[in-house]
Amino acid sequence: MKLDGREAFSRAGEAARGRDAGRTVVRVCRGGGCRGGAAVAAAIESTAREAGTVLAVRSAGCHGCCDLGPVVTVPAAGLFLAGVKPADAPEIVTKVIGAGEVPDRLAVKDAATKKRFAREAEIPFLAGQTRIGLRNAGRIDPADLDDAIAAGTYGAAAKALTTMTPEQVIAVIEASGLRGRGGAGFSTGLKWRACREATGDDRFAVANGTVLLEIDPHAVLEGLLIAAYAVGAHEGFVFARADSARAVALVKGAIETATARGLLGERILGTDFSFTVRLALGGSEFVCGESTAVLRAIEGLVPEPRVKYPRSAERGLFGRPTVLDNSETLALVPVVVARGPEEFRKVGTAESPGTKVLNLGGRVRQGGLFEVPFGTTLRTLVFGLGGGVAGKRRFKAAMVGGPSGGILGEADLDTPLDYGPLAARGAIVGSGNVMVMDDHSCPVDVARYFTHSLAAESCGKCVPCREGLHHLAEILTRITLGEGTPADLPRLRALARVVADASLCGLGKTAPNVVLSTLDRFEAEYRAHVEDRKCPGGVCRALTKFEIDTDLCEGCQACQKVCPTGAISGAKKQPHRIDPEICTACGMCRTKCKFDAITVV
Amino acid sequence: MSEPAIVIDAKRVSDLLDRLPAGEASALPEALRAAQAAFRHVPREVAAAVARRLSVPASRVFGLATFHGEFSLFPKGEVVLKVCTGAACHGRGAPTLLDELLSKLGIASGGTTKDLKFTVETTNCVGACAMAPVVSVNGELRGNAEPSAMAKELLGGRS
Amino acid sequence: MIAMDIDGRRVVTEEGRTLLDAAREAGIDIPTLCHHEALEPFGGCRLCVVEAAPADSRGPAELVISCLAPARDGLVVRTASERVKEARRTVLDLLLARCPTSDVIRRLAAEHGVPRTSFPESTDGSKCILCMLCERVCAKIGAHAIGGAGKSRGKRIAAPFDLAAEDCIGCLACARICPTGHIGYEETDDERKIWGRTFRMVKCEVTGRPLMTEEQRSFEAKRAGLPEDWFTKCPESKRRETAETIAKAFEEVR
Repeated sequence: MKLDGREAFSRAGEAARGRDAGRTVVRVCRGGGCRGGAAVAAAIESTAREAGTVLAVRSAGCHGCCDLGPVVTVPAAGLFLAGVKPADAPEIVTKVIGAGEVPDRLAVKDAATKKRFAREAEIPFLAGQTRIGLRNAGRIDPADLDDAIAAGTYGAAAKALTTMTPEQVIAVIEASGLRGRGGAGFSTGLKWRACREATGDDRFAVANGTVLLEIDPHAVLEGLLIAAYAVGAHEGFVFARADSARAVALVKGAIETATARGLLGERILGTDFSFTVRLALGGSEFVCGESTAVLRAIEGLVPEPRVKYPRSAERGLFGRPTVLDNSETLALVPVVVARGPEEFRKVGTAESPGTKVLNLGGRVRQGGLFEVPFGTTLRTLVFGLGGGVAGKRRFKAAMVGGPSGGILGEADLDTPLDYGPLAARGAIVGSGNVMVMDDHSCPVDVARYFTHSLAAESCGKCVPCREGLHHLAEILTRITLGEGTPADLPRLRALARVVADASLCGLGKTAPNVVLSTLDRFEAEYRAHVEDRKCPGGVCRALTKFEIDTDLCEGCQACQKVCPTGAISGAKKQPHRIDPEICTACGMCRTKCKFDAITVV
Repeated sequence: MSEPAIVIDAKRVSDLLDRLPAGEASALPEALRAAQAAFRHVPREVAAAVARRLSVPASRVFGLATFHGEFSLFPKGEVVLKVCTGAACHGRGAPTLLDELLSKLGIASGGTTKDLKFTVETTNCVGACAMAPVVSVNGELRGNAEPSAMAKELLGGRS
Repeated sequence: MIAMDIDGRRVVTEEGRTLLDAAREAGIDIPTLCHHEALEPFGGCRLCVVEAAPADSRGPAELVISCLAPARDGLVVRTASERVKEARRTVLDLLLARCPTSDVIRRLAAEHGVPRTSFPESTDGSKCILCMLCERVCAKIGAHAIGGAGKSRGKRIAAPFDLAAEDCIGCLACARICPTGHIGYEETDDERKIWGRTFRMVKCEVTGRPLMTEEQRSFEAKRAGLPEDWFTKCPESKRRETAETIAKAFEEVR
């Protein structure tokens, strides 16, 4: 039934919140990484039925820590269980729900201290976050509008549409200092104002970016609705990657259900404002993240970026004024509107208020989505929340900002994660991806790998990106194969600078970051490659020779078992030896050695 | 032994075309996606029919079909394995996994086995870094395993 | 009216002009490859980069492409700074590696101080720099017969599915606009071959010289709403005919 006003909306909220009265709610994560969630849910349900326990087993979206999945939560008791299997159902029903006791194996082991925690509020990597954009991550079923409404979603939109003028909304967003989370960090308020003031009869509001769509699609739609109201758009699109089946299904369902309830579509919540949203799908290519490419893709064209004269706010989709916002930005918009700009500014830095969702990965103990205030240091992220470097390895570098981000080293660990400070060090906020590398990695190989893949991602429109990235990748490949010369290093730097300076869009402008930032920080390793023909990280096979340190080797034969070429010999409890003639330097042995006995010579 | 060829019958083509909004150029990506799903590639005759239905030049259809990795001009395998090449997967054995799959099937990356059973490609980060290395198997994500064990499992009995 | 400082000179232009327009109006040369007056600016070759900053700006100047950047009052523009020259040299160096057999690129590169490329040369013999002028002029004419295919370095100009270009009318606009002579064609008085197609020529009924292809005649007639037999004479014959008519009229008056 359509909600025809603010009153009807608040009644719907009460009804949604009250629907599980008298029942214990159990949420089972059904996010993309939680394979097996369905079986766990079914097992808990049937066990409860047999035991006569009244439960409401509901789904939850991704918590952002897929390595702990499937995750089961008991919200009323604040409990958070990790790695749950269907066989755990009896214990969950009797002990966890019945008595509030959590078996150790289902509690979350803190990566740094090895202590176990079952209360969500005590789990360090969760408690240490400031989840604003991710406020509903794991707490609602992203496919259930009632869950969203119960959590307060669409409340800010109701407030905006019924009590604020579009100008007031824009003023609030401007005052909050909200910056676009999609990469460049442009002021959201300024962008909206430019679009509102642009000449044209009709305009569009568009959302892109996949992560939040999978976790909290209604929060994104609510933000998009507020954006549309602010700029005066009556049509909008959510642009998602066609290959992320989960996001596509969730957004499609969310648009349908929200429209059916009168939260989107004609005369929203009984007001005069109408806003129709459609789903548009795009490719998985990196360039599909470029704003002008997104708009071209929605028009059905090849997603080649265009030069931003004029800006999309003035002439965007189908030639009409358009605001395009990242889904993470849009998920924050309702918070700004509901709580006010001052409250929003209490978190983050003066230049960049609020939080940023970061995706921490690589050689770190606890990876996943981490939402932290802007200005949080890289050290806090990696060593605090992430629990430090995995295994017994040491931190060497972190790639900050995604595939076109920059590589930061140990000396940069106290860099605040924020647009300005990161840019000053040759990295970007970008996609928010942070990949940690340990001392068994090679910066030159990392530069080669990313430059090579970004070269293939170039749309081919402009010369520096299309041709320049190719030659950067070629030079780097030669270096990692041991065919580089010292003259390659200044050439790399010079070419990388021009590609960054002269490319058309963000892809080409940021792709050289990895080259420039590694040259700046790891020049000695580059030199080792081109002068000594050695790869200190032990990654570039052509330049790597492994040896077993007989003082450290315990003779456990673990390396022998994984060696694909049978190059390692030695009896049990006796020091082993690598035959350099047979060894291909694949490094498998080194990943298995617990005693750090395999060394690069 | 030989896989039945992918049949491009008139009924399926007209079904596909009927669902497209006539004259709506912005529906082109959706049309190509439907063709790819129905025929495991974008057949030339279907592309031409789509161009007429949506009133877009054939050159634009060809441009889009060759730009996106999701479209193919030649039939793909029944099972499309997309190895994620994102940063996390790269660091956790994706290259080894890719090598194993390709060498076991005797194809190059992006290639399809002669019997049209398997296609192996790479894809950009699918956002499931915690499961690294990740492979999308006809759109469903698998991960969290040793590269060589995964390769074996993904290819079933085939070697 | 907009007043700017371009290379230390005061240049006055109007609203709606680009930096390239303004510079060229003032006689300042900026090289271009993908630019053509008759077509919308594209911004792909990056040869026309210039440095631009508002006069009151304290930050570093922006490197912008002059073919698209709008002229703005008070802008300080440098068309030949070291940064600009470095970017241009690199672009030409890269293009020379891609098309080492193109005389046009070789000459342009040499003019900018790049006598030979510092990158490994491409050996496929292609002279295509992917300026997309051909695609754009074909679209402007309305034929849309050819276009870009693929992406990245594998991008190329192609007819749909690499077959004979069905929508081609054989007008040769693509070949004529191509700055490097990459697009080949063959021509006799009777026929023309391009993009895998062979076209029969319509001849001028006065001089007998080839006028246009039959497809082009149908296309033009349809577009202009004229009968096909309107296109029967070459421009020269038409001019002469007009001149003769006028001369005759004068004689009659006299």
